[in-house]
Amino acid sequence: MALNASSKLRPKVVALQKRGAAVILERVEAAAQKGAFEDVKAKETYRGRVRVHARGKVSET
Amino acid sequence: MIEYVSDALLAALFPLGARDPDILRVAGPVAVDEAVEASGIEYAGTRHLVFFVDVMAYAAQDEEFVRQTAAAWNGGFQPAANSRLVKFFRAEADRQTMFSPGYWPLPDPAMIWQFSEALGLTLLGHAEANPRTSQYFYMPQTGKLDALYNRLARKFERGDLGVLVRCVTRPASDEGGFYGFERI
Repeated sequence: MALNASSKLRPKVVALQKRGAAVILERVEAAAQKGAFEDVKAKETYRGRVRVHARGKVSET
Repeated sequence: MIEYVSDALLAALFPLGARDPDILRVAGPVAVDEAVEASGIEYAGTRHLVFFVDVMAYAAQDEEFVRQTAAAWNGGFQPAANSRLVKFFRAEADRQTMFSPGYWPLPDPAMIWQFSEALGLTLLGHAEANPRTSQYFYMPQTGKLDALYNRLARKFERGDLGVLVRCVTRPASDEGGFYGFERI
């Protein structure tokens, strides 16, 4: 079903996401307290130039 | 109550120093614990966290809740074991603002095209590092985010981001739903 592309928040989705966000924040904090991120550097998987679409054209910044 | 993501995770995902307004950089995933991984997108000077959360952990292990939500929003489509719900938000966002895209615009609205590619790249990076995960779900909280995930589905359908996954379920309700991608 096509849903309209508005900025209006969907209350039931936000309610579910608030619950999920609490899970995320608590798990990240617990991991940080255990030192899970000490000396960890995420592997860079992509690096490129910013491109901006403008009226069908693409330009690099 | 925790309001922000730990600085230790931010330091693991994003380099220190000035942010380059001309660069798109994707990094990760980094394991948070057995049920959560995180990747980072640095884009035009903005920083975004992308979390991959075990669906059951996200739902607090409530199987009935997952079943009911799938029935109400996605025609009963049930997630596979070890699947991930993907949630992204700005690194600086707190609990109150992370759900409202209006607080966190990209520097140029037309950047949304490339940003959707960056989101796809984080999925590919996660899939490569986590072969046990077969499905990914995105839950749009606005119509604009719905359009963003729909665009992501089309990119995968066209093969713009390779042929690793395909869209297998879409929102089927006016009040909410999920875009689901499954490993091919």
